[in-house]
Amino acid sequence: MALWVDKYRPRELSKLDYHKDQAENLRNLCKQSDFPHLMFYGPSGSGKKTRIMCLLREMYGSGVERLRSETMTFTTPSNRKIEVMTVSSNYHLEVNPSDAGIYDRTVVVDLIKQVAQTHQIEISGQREFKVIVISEGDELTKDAQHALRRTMEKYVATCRIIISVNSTSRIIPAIRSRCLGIRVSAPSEPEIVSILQNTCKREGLTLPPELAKRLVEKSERNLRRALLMLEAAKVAKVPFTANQEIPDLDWQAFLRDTASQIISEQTPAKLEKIRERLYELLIQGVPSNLIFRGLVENLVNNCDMSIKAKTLEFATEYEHRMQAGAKHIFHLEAFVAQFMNIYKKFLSELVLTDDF
Amino acid sequence: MQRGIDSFFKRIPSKAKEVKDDNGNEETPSKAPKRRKALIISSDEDEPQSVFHNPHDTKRRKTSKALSSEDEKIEATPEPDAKKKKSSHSNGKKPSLTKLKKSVDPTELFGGETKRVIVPKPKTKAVLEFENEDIDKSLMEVDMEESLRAEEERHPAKKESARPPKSPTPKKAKKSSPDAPAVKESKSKSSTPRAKKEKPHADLETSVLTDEERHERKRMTAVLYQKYKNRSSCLNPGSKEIPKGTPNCLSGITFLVTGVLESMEREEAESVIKEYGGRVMTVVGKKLQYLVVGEEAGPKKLAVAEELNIPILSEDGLFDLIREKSGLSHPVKEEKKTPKKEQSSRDVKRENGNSSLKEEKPSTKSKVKEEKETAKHKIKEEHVSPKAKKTKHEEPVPAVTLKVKKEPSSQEQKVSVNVAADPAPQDLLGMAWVDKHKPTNIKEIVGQAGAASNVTKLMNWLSKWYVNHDGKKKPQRPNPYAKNDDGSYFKAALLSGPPGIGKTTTATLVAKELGFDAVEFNASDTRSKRLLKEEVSTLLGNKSLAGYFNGQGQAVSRKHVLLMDEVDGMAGNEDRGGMQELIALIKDSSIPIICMCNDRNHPKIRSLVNYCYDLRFQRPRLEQIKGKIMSICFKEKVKISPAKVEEIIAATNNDIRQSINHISLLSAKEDSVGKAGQQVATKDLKLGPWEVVRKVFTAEEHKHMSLADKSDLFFHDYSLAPLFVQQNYLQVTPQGNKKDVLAKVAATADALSLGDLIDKKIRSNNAWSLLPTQAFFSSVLPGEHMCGYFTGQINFPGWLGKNSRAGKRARLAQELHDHTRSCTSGSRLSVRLDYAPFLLDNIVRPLAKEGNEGVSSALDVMKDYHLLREDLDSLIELTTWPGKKSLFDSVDGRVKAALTRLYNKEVMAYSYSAQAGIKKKKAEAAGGDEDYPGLEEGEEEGGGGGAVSEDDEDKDNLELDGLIKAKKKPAASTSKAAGGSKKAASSTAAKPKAKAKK
Repeated sequence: MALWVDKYRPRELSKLDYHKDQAENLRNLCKQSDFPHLMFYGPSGSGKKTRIMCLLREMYGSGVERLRSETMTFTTPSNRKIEVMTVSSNYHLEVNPSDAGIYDRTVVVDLIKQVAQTHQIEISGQREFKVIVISEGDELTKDAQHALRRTMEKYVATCRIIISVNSTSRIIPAIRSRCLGIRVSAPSEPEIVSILQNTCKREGLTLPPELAKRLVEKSERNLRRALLMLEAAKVAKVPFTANQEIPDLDWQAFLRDTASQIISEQTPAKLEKIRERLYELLIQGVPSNLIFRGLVENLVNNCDMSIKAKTLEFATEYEHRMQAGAKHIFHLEAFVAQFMNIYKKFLSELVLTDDF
Repeated sequence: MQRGIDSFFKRIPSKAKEVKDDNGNEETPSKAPKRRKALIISSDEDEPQSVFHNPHDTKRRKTSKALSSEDEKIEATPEPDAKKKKSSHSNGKKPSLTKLKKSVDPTELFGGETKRVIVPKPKTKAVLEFENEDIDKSLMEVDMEESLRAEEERHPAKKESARPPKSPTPKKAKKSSPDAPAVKESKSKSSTPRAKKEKPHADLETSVLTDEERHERKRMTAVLYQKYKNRSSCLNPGSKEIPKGTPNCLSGITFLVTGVLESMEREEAESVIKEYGGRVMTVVGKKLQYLVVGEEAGPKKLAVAEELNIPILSEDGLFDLIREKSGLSHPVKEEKKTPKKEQSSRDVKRENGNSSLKEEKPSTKSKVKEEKETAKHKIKEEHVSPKAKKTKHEEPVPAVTLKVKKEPSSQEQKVSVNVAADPAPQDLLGMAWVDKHKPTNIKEIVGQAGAASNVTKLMNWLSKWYVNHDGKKKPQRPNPYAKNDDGSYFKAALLSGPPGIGKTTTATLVAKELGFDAVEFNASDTRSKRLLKEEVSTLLGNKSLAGYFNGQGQAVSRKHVLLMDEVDGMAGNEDRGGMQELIALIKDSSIPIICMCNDRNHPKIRSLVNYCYDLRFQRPRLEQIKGKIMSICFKEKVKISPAKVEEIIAATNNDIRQSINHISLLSAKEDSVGKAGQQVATKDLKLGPWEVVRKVFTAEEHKHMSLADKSDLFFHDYSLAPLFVQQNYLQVTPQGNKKDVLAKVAATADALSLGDLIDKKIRSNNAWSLLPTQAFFSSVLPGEHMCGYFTGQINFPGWLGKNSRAGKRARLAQELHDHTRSCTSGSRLSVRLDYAPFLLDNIVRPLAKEGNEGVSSALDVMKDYHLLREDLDSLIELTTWPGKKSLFDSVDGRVKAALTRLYNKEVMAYSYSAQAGIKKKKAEAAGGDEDYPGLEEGEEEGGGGGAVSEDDEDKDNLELDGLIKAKKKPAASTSKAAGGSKKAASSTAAKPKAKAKK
């Protein structure tokens, strides 16, 4: 009993619910014999991966859905053994080189090159090339990307590479120029609402439009999240009601709580407690930029106009430092300390002016 | 320390002098008189300070004088006693002198007083007391008269000298008269007033205690304890200026601080005492010389001190003592006293033909030593007798004292030199101290005294070696974990431990002690395979030993032992194959072999360890080394404070050899021992990160630290320092306005964030030249901003632990992502943040709600997502938040077990689960085999064909080995039931593979 997200995932290009023009273009692309490297980019939960799988199915038929996962072992130049999990069918190979962390270059060099070098044995297959899907391409180190660019050029006859990234900003221009970029933007609100409604229909439920709307808002136009929340809502209360409560994600709630604690008290002791909470968020794998964003949004919502600008200024500065630095907690903490400082100052001034 | 040594050394000469002594002071002085005179030294010791050119000599003379005159009282009495002896002796010999010294004794006055001792009150009382006692009146009178006279002579000198406030002189003057009787007392035998006084005391304490009294006493102690708990810190901190004494001015004097002092904390007082070379004791005992008393002093201590006649000082008294000792009050006296003596010593030196000027500023150690020694001899030869005679004639002149002192010292020194230089006196001059003071028998080895020490073990092993390896019996190889193995199995011993703690010394001395001939090979010898074989084996397989082994053992005069020193140094082309050869050698050695190395975990040594009796040497403790060093200092006449010796030892990380070398180096520039030398030593100290972070933030420390010093703190451990600072800066309460605290915190956090940027740059670009910059941002700036004091406990940086936890969770998340990848679309992150809670909910909800009925639906979800049972646990870990209760906790344990069982039964192995299986198997090792007994049976019964197919299967799936095994479990049972139908097994084994591929 899979989750609805996976249960109702479209498997063919023709069955996609939104960006239908784009789907049509992709179909046309498959019809031609030539096929460039592709780069799907767009925010999380917008359907990149779904589209890639649909595209592969369009090209190779249903055989592409017979997946097997294998663990590949590599030895890095420094004699360290790393294992990378791959998912493959007879026609394609999906790999996430960033699983190997800083050794992703080895994965690119060893695995991708090796696959790219071998020809397709089965001539009867529709295509004479295989496809390598690289997920989370923006996590690739620069080294790995440079290793990739030559491979892409050299073995273009035997393999195509499809890269799935969230943002092209971290992809080196050399690779960007070698790929056909396909933007998969997040579905619009009405699109998500209709998808949610459809899903409910198929499950034999009725979804009040208000609830659907709130789900969309809560999910930040992330379709995956919206569907997961819908299912959670179903579990909580089966005949949907319009003002049903939609539980937050744990980490979001935690983050919001942290922000409100910052507002409530500004002392070094509190800062230390905040530090612990920030550590907790980091340990749970919430990316530090998401933490920053969450904090800033919550803080700015709760503070006076006069210090909003200052808060944002600090936030930008420390987030920038965080990206350049090594230990994220240092910068998060510095931001919180700065905010506490200006907020406290603001409060004390407020008291003074009130007195007069 | 030094005192103890003094007394130790005195014994020898005193014995030698026994016959010479003719002062007629034969009575054994009772304990009381001795104690009573403990203070005399104080006035006495001014002299060493005042004597400019060679303080050691004078000191020696002083102490040894006592000995020479003293009769056969060689009780194991430490310094004070020795001093008393001296005084008592001089009493008889030339009473005036003693009086002179005694007159300065403040103790007498304060026998039982608990309060501060500023004004000597009980003068009359003391006199009265003594009147009652049957003392030799005549003697007493003489003493008193003389003491007064001496007092007068002495006084002007003292008054002239510029005294710091509260000069002790008047005090002393007043005290002088009661002191005289005290001297008397010392003369009298066991029936001294002291003894009398003590008796009633004891009676009171023991016999007449009623229950009430006991109760009362208990109550009192309780009250006292309460008081102790509530007592304040010092009354007026910093109200008095601590006098600046000369370094080591209190050397050799023992103190005990009790109660609350007026201007200092007790620790502070103790550190002051230590700084000036004094010793601080914790218990009132015989060795104690001064009791420094403040408010609310412990009555017990006072009582004991009174009993032992230990002088009691107030805080002021302590300061006065420092001033006095450091010669602040003496310049005049010095001049008066010393010229004669100096003159004489100079004369002596000139006679010897050495340049006397050099003597005064010792340029090189050996030279000085040489000069001194020659000087000593000369002194002895030429001056001893006349001077001794002189002393008898001249009465109270200070100069005489000095001369008298000179005489015995020269004798004593000669003796000590002879003792030390016993074998080859000439060699010693050019020898390094390390060699010179090398232990000459096993008892002298530092830190190897105990019964379980390595020396004992080695002795034991070596002495039994021939018995154990006579070829008749074969000892069992001991259990490697056995605690008290005597190594009888091993033919070789391996001494391992850090350098400079006496491994080689131990080996050679033990060999010597047991009469073995040691053949030593060290890293300077070539020890290649060939050479070892040729040289050593011929050496060891010596014919002469053969006879020994044939049973006529005793006939052979000498036994051999092979010392292989520095075996970890067997390296490179030179010693190729040396280790193998050494092992081979050990295997069929006919003599004991002792190997030595530093790092016994070195890969090269590891193979050797198996053949050796493993003796690990630990670094001796600081106190153990300190004793040795202090005695060397004494022998070499280097004046060094115990505190400094401790510092040096700590700085060398308890390395005896290096400590001695340091001392030797310091002695070379004797003048600067106190000042420059001290700084060098402290700089070398390595601070722990806790200490560092405390110093970074404490305002008190900042006072005498330059900017460079502050940034140096960072470099004690530059990788940990920023973390420590970040972890602990919030524990600091900064000085200044409370309102600004947050601003300071923010500034600190900002600096730390910049420091982190630099850290990243350093590590990613290898830009280590930026390290000083990081020091400023990560340590100095935070220290400046938050300069104050710690209010909380200093914690170990949490970052390290959190980081590793984050790493672990990331690994779990990745695993989860890998497993679910074929049926979900999200990236690692979205699986973790979005999927995980819902997925877990979907699995756990049926279990929680329906119990056992929900198991199958839960399992369905797991199957759909290709999850392993372990993944469920990682899912739980990944979705736990502090303060949130996991749904899984509410699931009944039996339901959980049912899920696990059903999972094991139904779920096919995935390719990745194979890996997990293998790992598990490795961990379980033997346990795994027992799991499949049926399988093996089945295979055996299965017959040829089946076995072949099984083999093929294995080959095909070598890497999926774990997978097959995991799947065989049910197969095994079927095969067993079916009487070993092999095909069933192999077909089921093949199935999972197919399924996994699907």
